[in-house]
Amino acid sequence: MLLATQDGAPILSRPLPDTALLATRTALQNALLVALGPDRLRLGCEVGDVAPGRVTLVSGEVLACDLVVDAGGIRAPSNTGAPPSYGGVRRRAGAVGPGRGARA
Amino acid sequence: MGAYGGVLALSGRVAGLGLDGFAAEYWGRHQRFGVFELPDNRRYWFLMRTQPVTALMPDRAACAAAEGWPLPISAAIAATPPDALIPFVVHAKPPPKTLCALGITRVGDAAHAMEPNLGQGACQGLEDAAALQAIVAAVAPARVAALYERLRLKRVRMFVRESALGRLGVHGPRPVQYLMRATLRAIPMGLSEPRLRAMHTMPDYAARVA
Repeated sequence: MLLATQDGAPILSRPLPDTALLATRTALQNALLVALGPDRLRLGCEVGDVAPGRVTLVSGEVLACDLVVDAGGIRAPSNTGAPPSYGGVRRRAGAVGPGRGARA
Repeated sequence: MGAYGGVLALSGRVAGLGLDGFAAEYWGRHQRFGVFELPDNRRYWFLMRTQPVTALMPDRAACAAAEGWPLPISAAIAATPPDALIPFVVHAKPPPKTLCALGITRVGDAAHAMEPNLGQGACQGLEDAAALQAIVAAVAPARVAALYERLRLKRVRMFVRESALGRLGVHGPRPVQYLMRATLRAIPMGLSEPRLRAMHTMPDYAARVA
């Protein structure tokens, strides 16, 4: 792996441990399909609510389970932490008082 | 602190010889290109630049800005159909305090959305799955979440922190860019290589839960 300036002058050069792996989403879903079988892999189901041991689909169907794993991405409903920020922008909060606006 | 985004793409087959596993990232001032060799002499490449939140993503014309950059960049772009460009904006979250809450276990970006600067976002999602597979095979369902968090939280927090630092060499203030580049040049391989190897090597989760 080469890290260099715009004109190609090296900043850092280190060997990568392995060759790159290119795996499309389709390939990963096919791997799941092969591992689980068509009866156990369900796609295109919109999830309405998630609770411990229970997933409720928008259709009203309730799925009981031993373990609920949320892989819903950066805006996953179960992730109630800080909201995503754009490019790591850090906001600076300021006091709000009479006659003053908020600084951000 | 600069916000940033850009375009990424998979190229078609690049004319000429392969690059023998070549992977590179070129840092300009508030703009960088990356290029990685893939099988069949294709390339994964990206352009990221500092830009306001409301800016339009670079289009094909913006990619022409690659003129004057090292050859692997322009060769990859030339082998890419215009409709293959995928615009993106970089969003991230702070290091997670937990990976499990309210009886729900989180994996991938749901658990640890990080900036792309170490190339570890998807990798850590796959590593989550590998860890869960080892844990589920070894313990009762009620113990899975706690063990998953014990095995994974510290490592993913490190990736989120260091991925955020990686932005500074291009998108940080100019003095910080200089400082970071000088620091990277000065790090001896004997220090950096074990660190990189540890990052790129998945722990043996099956052995840890046995």
